[in-house]
Amino acid sequence: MESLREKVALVGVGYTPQGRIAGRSAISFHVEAIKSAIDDAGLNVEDIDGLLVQPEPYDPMHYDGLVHPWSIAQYMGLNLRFCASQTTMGATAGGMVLHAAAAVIYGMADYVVCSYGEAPLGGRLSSTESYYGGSEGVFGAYGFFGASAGYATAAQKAISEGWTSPDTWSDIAVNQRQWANLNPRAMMYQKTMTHEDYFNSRLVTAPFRLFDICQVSDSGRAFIVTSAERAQNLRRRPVYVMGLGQGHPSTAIMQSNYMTGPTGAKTSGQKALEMAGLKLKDIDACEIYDCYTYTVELTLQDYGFYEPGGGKAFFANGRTAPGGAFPVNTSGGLLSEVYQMGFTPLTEAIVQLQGNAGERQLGEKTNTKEPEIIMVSNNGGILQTHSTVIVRR
Amino acid sequence: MTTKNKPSPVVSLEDKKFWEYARKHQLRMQKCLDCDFLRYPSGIICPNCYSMREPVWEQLSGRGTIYSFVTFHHIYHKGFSDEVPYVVASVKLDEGPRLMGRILDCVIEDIRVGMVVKVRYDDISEEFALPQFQPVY
Repeated sequence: MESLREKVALVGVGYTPQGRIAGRSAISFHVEAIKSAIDDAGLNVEDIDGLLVQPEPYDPMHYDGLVHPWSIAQYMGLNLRFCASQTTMGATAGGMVLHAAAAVIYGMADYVVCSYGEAPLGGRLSSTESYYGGSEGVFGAYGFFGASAGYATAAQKAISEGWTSPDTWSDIAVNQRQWANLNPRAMMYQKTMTHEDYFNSRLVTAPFRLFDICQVSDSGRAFIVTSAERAQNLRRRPVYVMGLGQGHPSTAIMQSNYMTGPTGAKTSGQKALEMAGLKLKDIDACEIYDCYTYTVELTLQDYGFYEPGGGKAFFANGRTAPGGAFPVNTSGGLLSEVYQMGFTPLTEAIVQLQGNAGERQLGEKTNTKEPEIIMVSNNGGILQTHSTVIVRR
Repeated sequence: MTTKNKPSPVVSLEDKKFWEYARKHQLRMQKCLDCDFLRYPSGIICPNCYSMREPVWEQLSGRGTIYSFVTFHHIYHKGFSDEVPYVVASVKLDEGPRLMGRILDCVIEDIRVGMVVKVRYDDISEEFALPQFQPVY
């Protein structure tokens, strides 16, 4: 059977304003991001014949609460041959690449846009809170609220096993903030972070401090998938999909046996590397879904970059920061750039390999290795779903 | 114990009997008639042997150990504003399943993975009694 490797490329990234933006609905962010991606690729709206939409979180200001591709098609005047609402929560973007690739390869669509958007900060719910159904949530009676609590429980287990601590997480947070400080789009662009700042930030759901926790953002993001052939004639350098993988252990965190790994990342990463025909040593940089600092440490551990405890040295002394030997989360990530689910790490990988990353461009500009291959993780729920995308220029 | 505007448990169709037994201060979970597997959350199929036979609701001892826990410093809900910091744990019951619950009657700093605990039921409203845990010394 033929491999999917290098059959499709990612060709456009769409941005919107991001931060605390009043008076906008989630669907309006989807639409703006999609239009932006179309412009970025050098395409016309009429070219788009495929659309995948991540529908959540529930937006009470929208007439049916969730965003669907048919609503967007109506808004934008799209003529779709292929569409779906798709979600594996934070793992969605990576899952969409597979789905869009199949549509393109089998001739169901020529150009598939994949989109996300949310508008929680107009006094409404954030993603991390809405995962549990709101500020009350399914477990509110127990006093258990929000996704931060679930991940903190997993991180506490890791501390009890003796192989990690906030010292490692401090390095993760500080290094990523340095990338954000090079990114004018980042919510934390103008806010620096020292290790002292990290340890002074308040405890939220211990062992997590504020700076262990991703942001909440009003924003949208989109990317476009097409065939490797069609990608040759568009505005930017094609970014080829080398490998895809998924792994979904699924069990709710409080009943799970993988708080300290292996999560779905292990299978997902292995499968993606297999499809790509690559080893870890071939990877030049990583964009790792970073809802929490611990998620970054655990994902790279499950991918095989180090054993439990090895995270300390991996992140220490700016190793993953600008100028470091192994860049991780070069936009600032969910922690310091913007919360856009798996779209944040995936689109950053695209932009970097397109050579369109401005001041944070990997290569000479940031005194880092010129990137050829980037490994992207997407993690969903509370370590419940996972997808991996390996891309090259 | 007063509820002070705390959220009530959210009860799905799968959970109904769990909360009915809770009101009687009984910790009961579904036990598969074919393989004896205790399952939680409750559901129509045994995840161990896939039996669809109506399970029995087995009464459990209420004893377990803390598998892991989180300490809430942030006030997510006003009803808990005078309780922070407080701890919610994932407790591994002696019989196998894992149940979430507050750890009460304990100095926060003493709570640790592996701690032995026992369930108790606190009436929080006319409709609900809530399973919560306290240390066993």
